[in-house]
Amino acid sequence: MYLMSVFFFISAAIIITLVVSALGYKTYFAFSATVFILGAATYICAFLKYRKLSFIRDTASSKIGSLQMGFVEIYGRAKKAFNYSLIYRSFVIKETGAGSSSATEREKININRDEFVLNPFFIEDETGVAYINPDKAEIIADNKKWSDRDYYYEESEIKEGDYVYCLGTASSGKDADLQKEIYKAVIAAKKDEHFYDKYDANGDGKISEDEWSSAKKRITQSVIARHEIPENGYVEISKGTENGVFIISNKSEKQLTQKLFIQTAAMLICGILLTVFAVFDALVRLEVFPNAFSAQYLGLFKKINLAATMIL
Amino acid sequence: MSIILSAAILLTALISVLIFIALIVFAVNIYNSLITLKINIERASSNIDVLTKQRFDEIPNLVEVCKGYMRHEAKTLQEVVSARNFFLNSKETVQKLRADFALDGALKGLYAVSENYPELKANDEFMYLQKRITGLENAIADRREFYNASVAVFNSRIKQIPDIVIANFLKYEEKDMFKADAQENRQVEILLKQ
Repeated sequence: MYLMSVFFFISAAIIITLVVSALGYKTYFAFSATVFILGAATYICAFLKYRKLSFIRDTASSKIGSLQMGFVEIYGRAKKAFNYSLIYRSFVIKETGAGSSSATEREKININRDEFVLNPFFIEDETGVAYINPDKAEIIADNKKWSDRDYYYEESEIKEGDYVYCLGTASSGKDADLQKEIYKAVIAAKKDEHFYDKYDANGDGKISEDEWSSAKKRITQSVIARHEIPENGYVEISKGTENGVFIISNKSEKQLTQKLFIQTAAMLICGILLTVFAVFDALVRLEVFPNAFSAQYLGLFKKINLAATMIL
Repeated sequence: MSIILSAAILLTALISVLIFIALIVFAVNIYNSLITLKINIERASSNIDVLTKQRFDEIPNLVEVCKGYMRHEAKTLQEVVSARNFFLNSKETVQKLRADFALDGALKGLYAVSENYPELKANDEFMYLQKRITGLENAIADRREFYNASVAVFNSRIKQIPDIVIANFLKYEEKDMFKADAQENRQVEILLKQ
């Protein structure tokens, strides 16, 4: 559907430009064609936003304990996974250009201070825990913005304990970083000075294959218990191939749908106005309208063009 | 004047064509999302059946474990087996639902009677099966809630403007939510007495 829209509008823009170029008005129609393409692009963005809004609105929320595989929506508290210190943090510093800092100081501060951290984490509700693999997710988090004389700061984060909304594709039995944690625990156990006391069941001073197998099982179970992982592993939510939608947000579903609805409506109106204006401009340049009117419009257009040139 | 009129008509026609195209695209979007909602409901219903089947599959194991201890509770065990057999022979959703209710009642009776057999209660396999079946029941209840939520989204969408236009064209009607009512409970009592 959206590819068809893109194809239609771009084709129309190219055809208009080619036809009027052939008629000898090439230069003049660059403006109309550009506005038309801009309008078409805005129109298409509106439909992409609407598509996302539809997915959020039409997918009912599931409980994690009975999650079905496939495209799902869940809501629960965020929990850090394993030894990650953060879930999500984005911190941007931009220089505003003002202030009296010395060139040397400014150079120091211009070193990249931006920070972006996004780690796998858990979402927990009253029925269970789901593992979130945030690779290629669209993160929509509350933004804090502030500035001082010299710099502009923008920060957004998802912390442990935040209520998080997640829309993505569920798949089962993911081990994820569990294997890494088990490996680390096994290495640590081998270095333990009480290793033989703990795992040498028959006291012969050696660890047989059976004893080692039993030791690894105990170590695995202790890692699972420490990280509170369910017996059968956990459901992983990630970006699927079904529809490509994967959203993680610390806003509620209602806030997300309201925001998307406003964006969709604004883009749709802008898109339609731009394409209508582009058509109107093309018609004026084709002298469809009476000369007096066309002359006034083109005169005004030249004045705006001149003013823009002087400002720039 | 006639030139102005022609220009105005041409512009109006062009704008109308653009708005018409936008409306067609919008209508197609609504159609697609209503189809998606309908499929979501079918998927939710099938996923309840998946867990229900798993629950019924555990019943023979449970009965086998209990038989060894509850030699004098043949009637209680028979109710559980009857509910399972009724489910296996059911073809329609309504019948499967009744079998599910029948099993609920039979299992409650079985667990109540098992309180008189401490050795059974301490049996590892019995404890595992009881925990598993209870876990499946909780998951089934959650999936029924999800099914109802999916039905609620569908029912409200087909009644809203402008979706109601497309829904009427497709002859979509409101779907029933899952609910246990007195009629179903009476059916369960009849079934257990058979």
